[in-house]
Amino acid sequence: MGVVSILENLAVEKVEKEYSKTGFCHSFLLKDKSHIREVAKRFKDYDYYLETIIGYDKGDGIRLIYVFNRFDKVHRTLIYLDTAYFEEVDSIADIYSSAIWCESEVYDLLGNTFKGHPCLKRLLTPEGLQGYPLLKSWKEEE
Amino acid sequence: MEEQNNIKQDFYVNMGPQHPSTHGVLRIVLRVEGEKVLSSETVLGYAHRGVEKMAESKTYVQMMPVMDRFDYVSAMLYEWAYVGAMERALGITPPERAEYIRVIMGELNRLASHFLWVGAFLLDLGAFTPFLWVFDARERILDMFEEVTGQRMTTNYFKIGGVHDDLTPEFFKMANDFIKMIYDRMKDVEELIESIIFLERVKDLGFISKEDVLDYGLTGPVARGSGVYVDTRKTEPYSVYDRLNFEVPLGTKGDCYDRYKVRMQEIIQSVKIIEQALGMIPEGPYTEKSPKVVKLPEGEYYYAVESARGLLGVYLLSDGSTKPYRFKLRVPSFANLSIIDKLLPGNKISDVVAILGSIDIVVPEIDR
Amino acid sequence: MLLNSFIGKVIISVIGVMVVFTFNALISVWLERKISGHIQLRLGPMEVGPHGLLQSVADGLKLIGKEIITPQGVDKKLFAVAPYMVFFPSLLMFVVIPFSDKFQVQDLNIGLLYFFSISCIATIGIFMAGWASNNKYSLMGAVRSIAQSIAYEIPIILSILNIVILTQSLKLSEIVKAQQNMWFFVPQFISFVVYLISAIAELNRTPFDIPEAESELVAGFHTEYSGMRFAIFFMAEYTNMFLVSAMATTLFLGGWLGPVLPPIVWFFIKTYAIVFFIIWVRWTFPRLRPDQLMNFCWKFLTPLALINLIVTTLVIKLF
Repeated sequence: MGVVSILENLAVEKVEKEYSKTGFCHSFLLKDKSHIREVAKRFKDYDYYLETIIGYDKGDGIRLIYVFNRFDKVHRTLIYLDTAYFEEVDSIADIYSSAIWCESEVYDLLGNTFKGHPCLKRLLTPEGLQGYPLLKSWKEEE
Repeated sequence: MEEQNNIKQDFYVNMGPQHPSTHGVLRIVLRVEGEKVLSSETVLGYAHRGVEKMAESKTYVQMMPVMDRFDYVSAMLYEWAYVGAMERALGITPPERAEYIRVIMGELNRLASHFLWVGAFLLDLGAFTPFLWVFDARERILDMFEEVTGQRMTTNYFKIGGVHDDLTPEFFKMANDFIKMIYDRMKDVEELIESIIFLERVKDLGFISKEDVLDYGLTGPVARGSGVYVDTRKTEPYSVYDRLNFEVPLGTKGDCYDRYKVRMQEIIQSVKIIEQALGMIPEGPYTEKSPKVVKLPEGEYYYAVESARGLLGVYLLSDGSTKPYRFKLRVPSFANLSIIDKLLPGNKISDVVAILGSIDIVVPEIDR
Repeated sequence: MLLNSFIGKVIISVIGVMVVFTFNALISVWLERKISGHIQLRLGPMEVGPHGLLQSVADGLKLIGKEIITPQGVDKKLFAVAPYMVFFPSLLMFVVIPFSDKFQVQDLNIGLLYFFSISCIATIGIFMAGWASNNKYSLMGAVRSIAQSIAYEIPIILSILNIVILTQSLKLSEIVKAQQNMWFFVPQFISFVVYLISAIAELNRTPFDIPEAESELVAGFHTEYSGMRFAIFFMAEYTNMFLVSAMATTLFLGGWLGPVLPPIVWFFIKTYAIVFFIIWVRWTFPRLRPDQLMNFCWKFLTPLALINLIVTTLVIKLF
């Protein structure tokens, strides 16, 4: 089942990537943020697992990358999601349980909150830390 | 006050962060009633060093030794993932001899990690002797590392285009001696370990179903113990693994015993791979010329390796300069540990060590 | 004259017991370390004295010199008394052991009963140690240990009752003499096995060492003890190991009976053979979970011992 047909009728735009150069088979930019749960549900139905959620500070916002892959052969697919700083995104923690910790880590390091997450709290950094370390605007206190 | 008058009291038992069985600085807060665990909560972050942020202010070459420090029991597999991502970006392919050297070193690292796991697992269950028997084998592997790289644990051996030094004739002699003794040693260890007491402790404990594997994104022996065929060396072949002949052991039920059995069989398979690679290694250069100043072209790069615990992925986002814009490590123990809060409730306190041990985590890589 | 008088006997007995106890402590610890070393592909102590024979002396001197730390919040009197409560019953149990036909401090009519009754007093000491330590983990260790001790007393008593039925006496010297034709472990093999397993459980040694499980509860009921007080717990364990083996020798292996060599030498050979077996078992197996331990005792060992006792009684009655 081709990935493009899995994702039909959703607001995705294909971005070209070559596996041997980058390690990714397909990547899609999700234009409508509210479709992320539908995307995750479809991937789960077709036996893809959530490898990880990567987030980085683009300068004018945050880009979240959801990495899906298969067990039986490599089919690494990226879903890009662009958000503003500290914006709230729909959580996929009830669809993929691995997202519970992945989304907590993104919140911990970048500041995005996730709507519907069972217990969003800091995972890696100490409790009581102010600010979000992975943002480019993070300044370490002396 | 009312709780004190209650005959059935539940109270909190804290395992860690300093604890002989948590394999690192990990804290698990258990709510127990008598001997039974009612709920558990994992507290991470005791070994968080902010490496991903640190990578953004270091050059690519300066990050190389840091990769060793994530998982010090099998360091070279992490170097391999990082070096692979950079080679993919720069379009450099290492020569054949370097690929074979990498495979041999990678499998030796996998063996070292599994040996330590077997010893620590049995030590948590109370058997002291297997720990020393497998550590004797591990010492020989570390001696081999010292012979080639000068270091025992954090070796910093891989570089862009190949490896830093060639294998010496002494290494081949040590490797052949090691292979000769390891089959008998593992047979002895298995016979010693599998007593009725051990089987009673680990059988039918900590079941992980195939749905759980998909749901939690588990990889490595944890997933293979439940019967899911996932091995990056087979499904996403890298280096020269497609030329080597080896099997991927699978479990059936997904309990602690199956995960133990899968790892024991993987030890034998790794030794077979090393045997084949030692026979197939060609003569030639052991490294390409690598650029003096490492500047990756703009774009995103990902490289996945099968580490001892599962799928290890390195993600590099480059903006064309000498320092990465974003460096992310996809760590197998992170996903594997997330299932623990589902596995522990309903079991006894003594089972917590058995289940945690069978998952095989290394905390510094989780916390990064 | 002095030797035969009452005072003389008392003095010699006390000296004899102290000598045996001290040498046993030194030798058992050395044996444990050497045997565990060789099982684990290493040599064990080699530095202090030839083949590490003086290692125990060095360890003892070290423990005596350590600072005795009393944690805050402990019940001071209980905390101080508990080690001695565990240790003194062991010394008292030496009184009835028949080292040879001539060396026995006091050949009580109820020797067997005396031995196993005194050994139960140590359980109180364990609970005192766990309670007084003011430490959640020590208390859990003490509770587990007491449950284990009480449970495994029953198979022990059931197995030695077989010997009492065979010899119709509780006097230990008579039990040894009754084995002149055949050592009791041949007809009473099941009792022997049950006795040994229960004895290892009573000693809190692997595979039954859950009260001291390092990987789970640090060190159980003696977590908070240091220095000389810890040494006393330690010595109590090794003395108990000797005593249990000595009793196994007396009841099942023919005590001091044997050709050629003097009786006392035979006694020590047999006792230390059983000590070697107990040490061997410790370094081979992992430990049982507490519920598995208790299940094993109540659901397997006790019924087995009961059936064995009934069979023995029937056989004696019918033949």
